[in-house]
Amino acid sequence: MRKMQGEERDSSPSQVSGRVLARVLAADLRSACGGLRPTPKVVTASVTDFGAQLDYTSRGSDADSV
Amino acid sequence: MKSDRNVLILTELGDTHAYAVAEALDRKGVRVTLWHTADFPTMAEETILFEGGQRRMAVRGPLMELSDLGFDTVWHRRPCHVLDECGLHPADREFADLECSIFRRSLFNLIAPGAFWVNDPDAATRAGRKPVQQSVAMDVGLATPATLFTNDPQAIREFISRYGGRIVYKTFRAISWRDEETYWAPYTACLTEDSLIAEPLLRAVPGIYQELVPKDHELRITVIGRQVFGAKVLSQQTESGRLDWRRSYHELRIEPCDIPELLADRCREVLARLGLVFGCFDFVVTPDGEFVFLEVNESGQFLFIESYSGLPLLDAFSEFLAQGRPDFVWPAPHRTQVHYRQVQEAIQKIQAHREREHVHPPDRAVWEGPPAAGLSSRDRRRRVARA
Repeated sequence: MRKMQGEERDSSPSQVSGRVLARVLAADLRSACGGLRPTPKVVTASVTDFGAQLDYTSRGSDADSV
Repeated sequence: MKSDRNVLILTELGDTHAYAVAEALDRKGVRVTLWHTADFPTMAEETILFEGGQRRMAVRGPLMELSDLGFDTVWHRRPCHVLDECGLHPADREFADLECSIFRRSLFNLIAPGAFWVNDPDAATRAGRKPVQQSVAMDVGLATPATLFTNDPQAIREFISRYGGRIVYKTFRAISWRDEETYWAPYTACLTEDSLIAEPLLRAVPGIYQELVPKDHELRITVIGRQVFGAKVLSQQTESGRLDWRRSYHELRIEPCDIPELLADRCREVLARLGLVFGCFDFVVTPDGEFVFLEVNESGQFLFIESYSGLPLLDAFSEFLAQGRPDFVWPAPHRTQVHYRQVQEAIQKIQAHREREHVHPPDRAVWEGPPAAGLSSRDRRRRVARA
């Protein structure tokens, strides 16, 4: 097997009954903010690099990091 | 002196990219209108009228009134609408939301049919579907990772097994959850058979299951019309961003780089087949030097690339809108060049001025804390958006 360069998820919540895979694997955004509580701006920066959305009304875009 | 070009930007409050581009266009002498689309329907009236063999569209909102819709270019940047849910009966909200969506799509289809659209709204919606874009990427000859889009638990288990017991999981669209203290977001995540959840829940929501591609580094390729800008994202030199570089802005380095002409041509071809004129591509470059397509974002961000790498993307993108054609001339002779660092102060002023005038965009995080008295989850999100 090829050596993979990646990392394991670091702060996933426990597998709470009824939660979907995306939520179970989701990371606490504080890890992306150096431990600080993220602001909505940071959240937008961090989670929306997924392209045009299927839902037109919340069509976002990606890393608004600046 | 203003040129005769007229640019419309569909945006929302706090959209740094829209404000930066508007400022750059202004400095270049191009007329630009910022349409804060979240104002509809609570603070803006929008109309399509057919009468006497004529059609007429009108938009009237804070700081803006559009009746003469003679736009040469429209940047379909970040349109949205925000219902005033507190004023609507709960049983009517979904209906109202859908009616707003359909009306708006129709308005965008009609408002400037002869303009140069970046990007065409219908093409953009289609291009946002990851299976579609991966299919197109494969068709034009780009290397793509083995990817399973499914809700079949057995297929997921077999895929994990075929790819060494460790793959990545992605979602079809952005999503986050929050409570009072914490936001959670599904970045690209490693997945093993041990980390799978119960089969009924796997079946309940389809996902993207993908081969874990070994990385030397990553590429962000920003295609603006015919112009192609390459940036090397040194994700493997970070602690936190090796799997998903968006987690590592605080330690990330991005450098300009040349893109092989064949790769640039294939990116252009992907956009052409998707009906797009602008897009931001993410590639993995393997230790063997292979370029592996991950995705293309039709409304991708580019200012952070300029900040990190110095690539003059703001100037190029602004010229693209100003000239209104894919084969725009850049650098443009006899026109002011504008860099992102030069407009940051102006952006803050625009934001401060607009902050008091427009409806805030919705908080797109799903609230999962305790329900506030008398408020549904959607009410809660609306209340947060107004705060």
